[in-house]
Amino acid sequence: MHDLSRENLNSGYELPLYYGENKLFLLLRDPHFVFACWEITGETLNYYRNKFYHFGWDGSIPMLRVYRFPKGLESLEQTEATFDIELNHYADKRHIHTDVPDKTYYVELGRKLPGGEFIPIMRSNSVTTPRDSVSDIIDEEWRLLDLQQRIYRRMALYHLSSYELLKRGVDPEEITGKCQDDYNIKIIT
Amino acid sequence: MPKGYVCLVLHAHLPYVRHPEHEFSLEEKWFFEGITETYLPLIKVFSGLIRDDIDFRLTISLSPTLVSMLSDEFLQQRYINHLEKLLELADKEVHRTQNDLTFNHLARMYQDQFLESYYLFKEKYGGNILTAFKEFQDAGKLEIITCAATHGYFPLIGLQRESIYAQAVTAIDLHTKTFGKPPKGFWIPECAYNPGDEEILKDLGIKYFFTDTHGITYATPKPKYGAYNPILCPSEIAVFGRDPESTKQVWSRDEGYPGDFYYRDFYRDIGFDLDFDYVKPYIHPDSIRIHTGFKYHRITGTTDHKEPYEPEVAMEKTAEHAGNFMFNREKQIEWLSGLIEDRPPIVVSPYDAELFGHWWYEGPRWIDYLLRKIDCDQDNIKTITPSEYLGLNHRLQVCTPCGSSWGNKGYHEVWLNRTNDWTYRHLHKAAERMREMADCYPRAEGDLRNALNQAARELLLAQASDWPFIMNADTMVTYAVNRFNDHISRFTRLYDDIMGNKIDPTWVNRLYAADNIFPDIDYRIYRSLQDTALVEKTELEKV
Repeated sequence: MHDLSRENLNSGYELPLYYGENKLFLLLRDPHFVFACWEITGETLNYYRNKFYHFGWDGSIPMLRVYRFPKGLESLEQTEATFDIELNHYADKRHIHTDVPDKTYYVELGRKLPGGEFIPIMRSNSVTTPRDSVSDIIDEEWRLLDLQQRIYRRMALYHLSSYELLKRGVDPEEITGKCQDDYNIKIIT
Repeated sequence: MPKGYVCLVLHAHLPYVRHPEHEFSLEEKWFFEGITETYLPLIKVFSGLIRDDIDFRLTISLSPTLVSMLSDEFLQQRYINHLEKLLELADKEVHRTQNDLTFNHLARMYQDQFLESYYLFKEKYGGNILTAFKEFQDAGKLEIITCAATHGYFPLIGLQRESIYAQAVTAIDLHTKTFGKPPKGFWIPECAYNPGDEEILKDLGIKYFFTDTHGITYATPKPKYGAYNPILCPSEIAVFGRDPESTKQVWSRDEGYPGDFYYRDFYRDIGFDLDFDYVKPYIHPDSIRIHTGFKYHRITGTTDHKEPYEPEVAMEKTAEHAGNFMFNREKQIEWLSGLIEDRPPIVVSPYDAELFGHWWYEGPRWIDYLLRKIDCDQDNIKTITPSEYLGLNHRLQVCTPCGSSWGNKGYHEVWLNRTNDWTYRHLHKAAERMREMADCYPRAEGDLRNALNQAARELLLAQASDWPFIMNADTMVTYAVNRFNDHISRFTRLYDDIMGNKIDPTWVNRLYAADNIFPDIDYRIYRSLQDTALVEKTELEKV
């Protein structure tokens, strides 16, 4: 028999507002964006407030510092670039425009003191953004003959149907013709 | 020998919707419509092809949530009740239209279809149509593969690797019990691939999976044959890429087949058209007009004006479109085989199964015609399954696919944007807690074990990619938000009760009655992957 009643099945529980922990994680959205999400406890904030009180902590600004590395690397010596994003005091998530595909990123959440110094509090996991174009790395054993470059040309254009090609003034037969540099062809529209 | 192969793949999935507490729920109606309009028509098509000795191959992924619902006796009985209501309405419609030559034969058409569905579902398959799919598998025509347990979106739940393992192992276990052998292939939900996830699938015995086109074409190094030959991940699992041409021919908004003006219109339905008191017993109990399934008009054009549906004309169009699709694949493969000389190219064409029949009424018949034509009308191309193609033993190029999905814009934004990003902090916390509990209680029994298993179910159900997808689509959002909140809330109390040693077995039983998916689940699938390895190593060393 099925218990038909779902009354109070959640027994008064609701979605937690917070979990009482220090947490910062990064998720990958696409080649150009990552998503950061965090929670920081009052205890932790008090610790930093006491430590940096005389450096103007109460006037500090919450900030994310974004680190970019060559794909798969993440030691600070190999940092390619960093940039900062100022946050409001109530923010607990952010979609970050990282812009450059095929790179490894992590972020630090902290405060910028009035003097400009960044005090990091938490560091996230790292993520690697995917490519948004064809790789220029070729396996010698699987080198494409010139003729075979046409496969990529056709795939790049043939996500458009012949009808749509004609609408755009492209002769579908032209695809079988001479193929130029296809390395930057993007199939996604 | 054919010049190349076509690999048709259907992905059948619905979220787990089961609401015994309501006499009627719109969400269960999704499931019933799927059976009536897609799954049973496909079964009719495959049965007919086998009866007529047509040589065909088709690959279908049946998601574990769908498999669970199809094998649930409560939902089976509810579906029979649903069909009986449809048959009652069909009788009324045949009577109502008896003097209307334009619509009476359409009412009779639906009546015949529902009668046949009733016979197939209740009498022939005893309420469990999964047996039909197993028969087609055992006949060597259909390759059934699985998908993640609750369609969890791997790239966004994979911070805890145990979540991916649990989604995959639960799915493979259910599939093996249902279809008698483990799946060779795995449909990664939404084709959402994140490099490294395939290693877990490989360890579980999976031989191949699929990505969207750019998962292959943007792979590193650049694959020599693009999406027209599988590649091999460094972990030695094969990957097949979606062909953009055949995708567009079916999906294109402008000139895709389903939009043909002679095909049946999806939106025009007697649930909206007829007198309220007449349709009232067959619409929402709260008197909200909804689709009944009786649709008498064709698409006609881009305006609201709709002409009556003419099944014979639509059938001719279906044959024409099947012929067109085959012709284009022949031409495509002829062209590709001129460039790929050392192996036959393969064109992989995956679609959502529910497109066929539910959205595109003539879709199942299109598949029927297409498979008959490919077998009978030419010799250049053949249908094949991915594992058969791999069995041809052509050496595959080793590449790492590119992170990707088949969602809008090709990556993960549909499932991670401002409408749904708030869900992930809860999902990751719950996954951490589940791992913590599994590590803490490696040998639980009795009430504790039941509570831990239910926590695993609640987490899996919360991870369904359907909830963020619906939030993004902006339809039925309240349902998706409530489902997500319910599963996380229940999980959170289970965690508190388990870790606080205050389990209420009665409440846990009520939860199981409500969310009863995966009865054989073992919460230990969430044990920390690293810890699991160490334990086994230690025990092996003792031996």
